[in-house]
Amino acid sequence: MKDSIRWIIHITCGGILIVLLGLHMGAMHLPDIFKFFYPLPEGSDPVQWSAVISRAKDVTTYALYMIFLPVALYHGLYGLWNVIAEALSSRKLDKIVGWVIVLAGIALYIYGAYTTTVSFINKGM
Amino acid sequence: MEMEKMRKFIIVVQRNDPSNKQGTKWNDYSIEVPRGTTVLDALIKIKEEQDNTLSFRYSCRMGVCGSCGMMINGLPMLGCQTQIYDLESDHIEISPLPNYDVLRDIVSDLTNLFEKHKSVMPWIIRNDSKETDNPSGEFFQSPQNLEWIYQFTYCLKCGLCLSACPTAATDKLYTGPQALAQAYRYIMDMRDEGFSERLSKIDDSHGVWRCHYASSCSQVCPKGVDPALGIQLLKREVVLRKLRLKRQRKGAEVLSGPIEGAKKKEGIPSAPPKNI
Repeated sequence: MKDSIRWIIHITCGGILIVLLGLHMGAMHLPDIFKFFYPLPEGSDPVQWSAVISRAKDVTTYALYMIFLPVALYHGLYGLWNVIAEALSSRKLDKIVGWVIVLAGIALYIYGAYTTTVSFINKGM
Repeated sequence: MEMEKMRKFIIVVQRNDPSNKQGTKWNDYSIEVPRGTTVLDALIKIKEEQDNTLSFRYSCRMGVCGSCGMMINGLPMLGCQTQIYDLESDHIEISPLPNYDVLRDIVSDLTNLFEKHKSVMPWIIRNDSKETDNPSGEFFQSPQNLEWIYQFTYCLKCGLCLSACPTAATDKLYTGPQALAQAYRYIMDMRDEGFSERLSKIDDSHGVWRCHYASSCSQVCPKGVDPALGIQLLKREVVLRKLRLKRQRKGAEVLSGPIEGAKKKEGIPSAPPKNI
C-alpha cells in the first residue's frame, strides 16, 4: 500500500477520533450535557461500576466502541510505526517493524472486540 | 578622509580533518574589521593573514551560488550574506553544516543533497518526446502559473534547509525539504507531465509524509523560499490526485505564432531576429 493511502486513513481516523473521543469524554465528564447520547441510571455517577455495566449493555455504546477500537488502533499504531521508521532509517527494518505492528494491531483488535462483545452479550462481564 | 571605524571580533572556527583520527578542534582568531564585512570576508582575511590552512568553500560572494553555507553562532547561514556586525556578538562560532559529512574544516559534503535533488527529477518531463527532442517552439506558461511556483525557482541548492531539518537529522533516508519543494515546483509547472514518474520518490515512507512541519527549513532559507509550505502543498496535491479529485493534466502546448492578419498594437517593438 502506498504511503499516501496509509496517511489518508490516518488523518481520517484522526477526524473520527475527535468525534468519538468527544462523545466519550462528554459522556464521562459532562453527563448532564451529554445525557441525550447516553442516559445514566438514576442517581449514578458515569465512572461507577453500575454505570460501566449499564453502558456495556447499551447497543449505542457497543457500536461506538466497536468503531472506536479499530480507528484508535490504526491511528496510534501508524503513528508508532512512523516514529520507529524515522528512528531506524532503514527500508528493510521498516517492513519488519511494520509487519510486527500489523500483527500486534490484529491481536489487540481481536482481544478488544472479544471483551466488548462478551460484555454486551452477557450484559456485563 | 575619515578613518574607517574598526571593531575587534573573536572568530572561533571548528577544524575538522576526517583523515586525522584526533577528531575536531576549535581555533580562535582575533580580527579587526570595519562595518560591512561579511563572515566570509572575515574568513578570507583570516586565511590570508593568519592561517592559510583554514578550509572553507565559496564562489560568488554575493548570495547566488550557495557555496558558503556554514553554521554561524548555531544557525545555518550563508557566510557571504551574513554581516559580521549584525550578529550582535564579538564572539562568533563557525562550524560545518550538520546533517552532512564533513570534507575538511567547515566544508560540508553536499553529495547527499544533490543526490536527493536529482532523485525527484527536477526538470520538465513530457510525454511527447518528439517535441522535446526536436522542439518546434516554446511551451506555453501562463503568468499565473509562473507566479504560483516562482518562489521555489529561487532555490540555490545551498543545503541550509536540509541542515536545519530535524527530520533529516534522525532519518538519513528522508528526501528532505529542498528536493520535495523542487518536486512541487515541477509538478505544479503547467508544462510538466511527470507527476506519476516522481510519485515513487515522493509517496514513500521516507518521502513527503515524513515532514512534521517544524518549518526550520523555511526559517533558514537565504532566498526566502518556503520549502515547508511547498511540502504541505505537495501533500495536498498527492492526496487530491490519489483520491481522483484532481486529474493528471496534459502539459501545456507549444506556443503558436501570432494569428494571421492580426494587427500589431502601436508602440510594441518587433521581435529580434532568430539566432538559432
